[in-house]
Amino acid sequence: MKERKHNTARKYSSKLLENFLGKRNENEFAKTKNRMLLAVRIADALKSKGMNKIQFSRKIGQEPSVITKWLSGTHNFTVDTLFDIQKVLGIKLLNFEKEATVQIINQYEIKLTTARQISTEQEKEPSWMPFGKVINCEYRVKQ
Amino acid sequence: MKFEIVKLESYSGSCTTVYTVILDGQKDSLFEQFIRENQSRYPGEVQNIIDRIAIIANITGARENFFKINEGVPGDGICALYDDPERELRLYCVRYGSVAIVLGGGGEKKSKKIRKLQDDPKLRKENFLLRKISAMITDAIKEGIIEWSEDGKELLCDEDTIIIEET
Repeated sequence: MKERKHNTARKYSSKLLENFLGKRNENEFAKTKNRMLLAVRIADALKSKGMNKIQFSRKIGQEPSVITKWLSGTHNFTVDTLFDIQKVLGIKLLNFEKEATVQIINQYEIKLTTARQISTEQEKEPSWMPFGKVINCEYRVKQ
Repeated sequence: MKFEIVKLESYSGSCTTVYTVILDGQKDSLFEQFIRENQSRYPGEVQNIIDRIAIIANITGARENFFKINEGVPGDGICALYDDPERELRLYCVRYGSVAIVLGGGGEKKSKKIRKLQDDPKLRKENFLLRKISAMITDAIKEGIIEWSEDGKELLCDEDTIIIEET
C-alpha cells in the first residue's frame, strides 16, 4: 500500500494579515455572519425539498439572479422577503411570537418520609411510588 | 513559473483550510498583494472579504453558493468570492470542495458595468495567473508530488515546503 505523505504546507502569516483580523468590527462581523447563516438555511431547505434555484425563483416570483444573491450570504433581507421565503419553503426564519414564560409564585420544599417495603415482587414490578409508602409529609415555603 | 503554496493558519478553521500562493521572487503572497492594493481605497470591502473568509473557514465551510463559480476553464475550480454589482472588489480563488480554498489575487471592478473579466486587464491578469496555478497544482497531484489528506483539508508533500515548478 502506498504510504501517505505527511508534511503539510508551511504555515504563513504576516503583520498585514494579522492586522486585518485584529481590526475586526464585531458588529459588522455579526451582521455578515447572520446573512451567511440565513443563506445556509435557505440553501439547505432548497436541498431538502429537492428544489433548484430556477424552481424556487418561479415559486417565489423572482428572477434567478435574485435567488443567487440571496444565497450568496451578502444579502440584507427585508422582513417581507423572509416572510415570503418562509411561506414557500415551509421553514421558520422569523420568530415574533411571544415566548411563553413561567412565573414562579411560590417555591416549596417538601420532605417525605417513606417506608420502603423490600420484596422481590416489588423489585420486579416497581410501583408508581418507587421509594415506598409515604408515612409523613412536611412542607415549607422556600425563601 | 515557480510558486509556494502556504497555509494561512490564522485564517483557517475547522470547516475550511485557507491557502494562498507566493510567487517565486516575491515577498508578499497573492492575497497580501490584493489587500495592499485595495486597503486604502476600499477598507470596508477588504474587511468584509476577510470576515467572510473567517466565517467560511470556521462556521459554514466553502459552500458553492458563496462563490461565483466557473470563472476559469471547466474543472479547474476557479471562482470568485461572490460580489454583487454594488461591490467594487473581486477576489479570485480556487475552491476544492467545501473544505479547502486557495486565495489568489483580484482587483477593482473599475466600472459597475464590468461583468466579464475580459473587460478588465487587471482582473484578466489575476484570473489567468490563478488558472495557471490551478493547472500546476492539478499536475503536481497527478505526478504524486503533492496529495490531499483523507479529509481533503490538508495539502501534503514529502518536502518541508510545497514548491511547485513548471517543468
